[in-house]
Amino acid sequence: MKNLKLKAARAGKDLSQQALAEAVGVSRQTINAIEKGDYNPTIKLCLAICKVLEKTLDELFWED
Amino acid sequence: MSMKLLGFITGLIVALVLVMIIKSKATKTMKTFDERQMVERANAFKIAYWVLAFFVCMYGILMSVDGALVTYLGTVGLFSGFFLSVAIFAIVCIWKEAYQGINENKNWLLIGLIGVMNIVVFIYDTMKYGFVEDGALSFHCINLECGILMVVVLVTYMLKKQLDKRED
Repeated sequence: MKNLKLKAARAGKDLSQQALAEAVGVSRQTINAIEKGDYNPTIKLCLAICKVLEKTLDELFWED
Repeated sequence: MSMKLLGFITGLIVALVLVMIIKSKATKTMKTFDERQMVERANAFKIAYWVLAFFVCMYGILMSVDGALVTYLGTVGLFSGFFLSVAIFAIVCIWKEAYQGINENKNWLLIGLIGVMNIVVFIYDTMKYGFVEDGALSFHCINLECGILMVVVLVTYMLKKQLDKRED
């Protein structure tokens, strides 16, 4: 399932996939895989993404 | 000790030294894989491992059969299992974007060059010494296998890059 919330939050911060990847210390392909729903990140990576995008875990990763 | 064996051992030592130098350089440049890449690499390793295990088992069984093709392949045949498993590992990793670490730039030109060089050495040796030695494929055929492996890895990488470009 695609993570559109993450994509929207990233776009809201005007960050490219590469910029977000560098900020959290992963490859661009990993961010791409998370957004596409191909990879479930660990809680550690989720938290790192949340901190960079200034969002909570619920806002980015909770499925309604 | 025959010259061929001496050459093989020398080549092996040179390769080991080169790998150690390259590895120490890579460690200095902090070659790291992220969590997704590590998972993908572990999966690729698992697939390659079982392919090699299956290959070795089948090869061993077939070796005991009189007149089976593998008896004519000898060491070259056994090495092809190793090259096959390495190729599978590399292909899966490239396809899952886990072959290169974060911010790592592999020298693809060098990989291609090694592949071509191995094929050239194979052609030269075959023309000079021939294909068959003591009723089995000669040791030079390993150069061909190595060359094919490098070319396959390079082609997979280029194919994946083209596909990614189209997706973008």
